[in-house]
Formats: sequence, structure tokens, C-alpha cells
Amino acid sequence: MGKEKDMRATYNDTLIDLASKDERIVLMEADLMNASGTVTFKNTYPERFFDMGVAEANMAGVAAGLSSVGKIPFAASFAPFASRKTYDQFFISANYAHLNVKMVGTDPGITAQVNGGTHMSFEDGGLMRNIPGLVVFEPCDNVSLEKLIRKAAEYEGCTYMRLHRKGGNIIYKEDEEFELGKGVVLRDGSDVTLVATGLVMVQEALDAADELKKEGISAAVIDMHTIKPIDRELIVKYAEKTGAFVTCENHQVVNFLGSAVAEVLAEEHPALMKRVGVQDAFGEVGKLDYLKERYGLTAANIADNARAVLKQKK
Amino acid sequence: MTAGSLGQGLSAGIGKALGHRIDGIDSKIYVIIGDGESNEGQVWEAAMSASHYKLNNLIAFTDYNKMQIDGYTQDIMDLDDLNAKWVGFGWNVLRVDGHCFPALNRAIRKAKEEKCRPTMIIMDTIKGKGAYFAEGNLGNHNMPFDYDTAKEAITRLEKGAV
Repeated sequence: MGKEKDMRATYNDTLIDLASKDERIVLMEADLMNASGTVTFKNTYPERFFDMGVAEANMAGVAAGLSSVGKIPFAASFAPFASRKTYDQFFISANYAHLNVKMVGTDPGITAQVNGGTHMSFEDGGLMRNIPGLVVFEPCDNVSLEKLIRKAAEYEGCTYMRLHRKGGNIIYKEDEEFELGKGVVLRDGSDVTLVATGLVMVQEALDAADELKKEGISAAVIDMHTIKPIDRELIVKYAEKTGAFVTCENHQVVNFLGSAVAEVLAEEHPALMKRVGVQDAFGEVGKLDYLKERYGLTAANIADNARAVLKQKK
Repeated sequence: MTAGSLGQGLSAGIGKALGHRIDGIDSKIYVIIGDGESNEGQVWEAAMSASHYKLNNLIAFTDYNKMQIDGYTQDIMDLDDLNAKWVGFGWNVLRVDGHCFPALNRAIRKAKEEKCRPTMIIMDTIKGKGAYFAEGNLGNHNMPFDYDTAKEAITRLEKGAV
């Protein structure tokens, strides 16, 4: 799999294109315009670009105000700040008021790398999942990113997107279509289902499926880009088909993908499952490869968990 | 929208003011905040951004009654020199007797003439003014209101004063 352009470039380019067709689109930053790669948006639409400085709570509140007069603000910061520092403002001013604010958390999970624990959010998705009615999603490559941003812009309501800034792997062909709330089956399988989300883990899950295939294990791989609302139908379908799950997320296993899948299984179609993700830990400083090993966010660990869950199944 | 979670109203007003500016709408956005509310950090993040964006279409009021839930503001969280704070944040600051409508009207007219700054009208007020059971009562933020008090208040209102 080849490497693609930075995902932040896709974020910027897609928003410029959207802004050219819809004058309601506005972009907000909290002193991270260079990190988010939105300088060209600023230069293209200066009157619709607002750098709010290092003041994320105010950014969320102002975004809500802009939305209340008909704008569609996309507001970004590093994931921990876009979530933890804006939580009450995003919750009350934007969501409780049923407005239309698109919050974007960049560098989610271990992709914060050497920025370390202060900037490494394993809980942003979980916090956001607790907000009533909010759509929460995490694209895994440039194609899904561009298409899902367009879906989010069309959707009338608040969304939270986890945005990987750097280049990722190519998962989808250009013509793939996406729906918020609908997972994508990347690979069919009959023994175990690997449900993954985001740039780091979808690729690891595909690699794990390759590994398992060598052992004669047929693993389905689902890109569950939307965590809320979760695709219940697809989970039940694969519960019936495989009866065994491994969830894969660059996030705490609590209250994000693993929890969402477990809730559906428990209520609809009980199945064995393991959750690969961060196990009740804080972030730390490191490069991506080191951090993958450190938190077990690897194809090898996914494969191990798949073997373990299949052992239970027998 | 609601500013019921304190500190959020000013940011919301700034968003509306920015939105109207983009659309070329000739309007004024009015925001009222409390003195106790001004303990919130978000108020000062908002204050900074409103002057940065030169929002002369934003007119805010502080209901400066010098009381918050736990007591007098100077005892609970002293606002010190409130005028100087808003001046320091780059705002056009006016101070009026908040119970004097002509003075308020004059201040609003003056605020509308401002060319490049948001305006903060600090209103000196008395919490519960004119209500015999509330004025001067430190616990009047959320006081119980019993039947006898209501009856007495109605009687006084009918005579033309509470």
C-alpha cells in the first residue's frame, strides 16, 4: 500500500471546494492553522476564516453563534483540546441548541506522537459519543475523508470528526461512496470479524486479516468510520455470520468503538469479542511505530486477539 | 440558544456579530452578562476576541449588582476594577446607573456610534431593587417565595409600590 498526501491537505482542499459552492461554510482555528494545514483556505476566503487564538472554549461558543445565524462552521484543534477544552461549550451552546457546528479533533490518539501525553487524546471520541444526537466519525484515508467531510457538511446538525493530519495508507478507490452511520465491509470473512476505525487501525486490521489468512482463518474487516450512530445492522449481520469480534481503535477501549460494538452485541446478538485499543492509560512521547507497540495497536496484537476469541468460540 | 451554563453568552454573541458582518447585515448584537458570571474564564477569552475582530456591532452589558450566589462579589471573587479590565481588553467602556432608563438609552446611542470597538456598558445595579423582600437580602439569588410574601407583594403592588 502506497502513502498518500497529508490528510490535512485533503481537509483544506475539500473545505475550499465546499466554500466555493456554499457561502455558509466558515473555518475556525485555535492557533493551529499551520498544523491543520488551512493556510490556503485563509488566503482564499479570508472573510470566512477565523483564527480564535489559543482559546478553544471561546472558539466553540463563537462557532455556535455563527451557526445560529446560518453559517456552517468547521472548527479544529488538536483532539484533546477540541474535546476536553470545548466540552461544555460544544455541548450546550452548539448541541443542546440543535445547531450545526462541525468540530474537528486533529492528531487523535497516538498520532500526536512526540507532542506526548498532554496532546495525546484517547478519550475525545468517548466524550463526544456521550453528547446526545452528535454524529462522531473517523475517516481512515483521503478518499473516505473527503467524502465524509462532504456528508458532514450536508448533514444538518453537529458532528465531531477525528482528523489524522499526516499521510496515511490508501484504503479506498476514488469512486467509493460513503454514508455517515454505515460501516464498510473491506473484506468478507466467516470466522471472525475485525471492526476497525481510523487511519491507524483500519490498516492494522487489514494486515492482521492477511496474517490470519495464512493460518486458514477467515477474518472479515469492517471500516466502522462512524462510531455514532453505530451501524447496528452491520454488526448484527456479522454477529450472525462469525459470532466472534475484535474491535480495533486508536482510543481508549472505553466508550468509543469497542463499547459501541459491545453494546449492540449485548442487546441484539450476543457474541464473543475482544477489544484492541488503549487499556486505561495516558499518552506518552514517542514516534508512531513505538507507540503502536507500546499500546498494542498492531496487526500482531489484533491477530493474537482474534486467535484468542476463536479459542473461546470453540 | 441558552447562556445558562455561565460564560457562554458573550461567545455566542460574537459568533452572531461575525456572521452578520460576513453577510453585510447592518445590525447590533446585544449581550447581557452578570458580574458573578464574569468569574468565568470564557468571558475573557471572548472579550479578547471581540476587540481583536473589531466588533463594533456588538454591545454588551454587565449587570453589576456586586452580588453572586455565595455572597458579595468582592468577598467571593473580587472583580477589582471592572472598567479597567474591559478597557484593558480593548473595549469601548461606558458606565451607567442601570436603573436609569434615560442614562441607558444615552449609553446605547453612544455605543452605536462606535466605529471599531465592541462596547461594554457596565450597569451599576442593586439586586432585587424595589422589591422589599429581596433588596439588600444577600440570599436573594434564589430565595424561597412563600404565600404570605406573595400576598403582601401583591397588596403593595396594588398600592403602586413593592
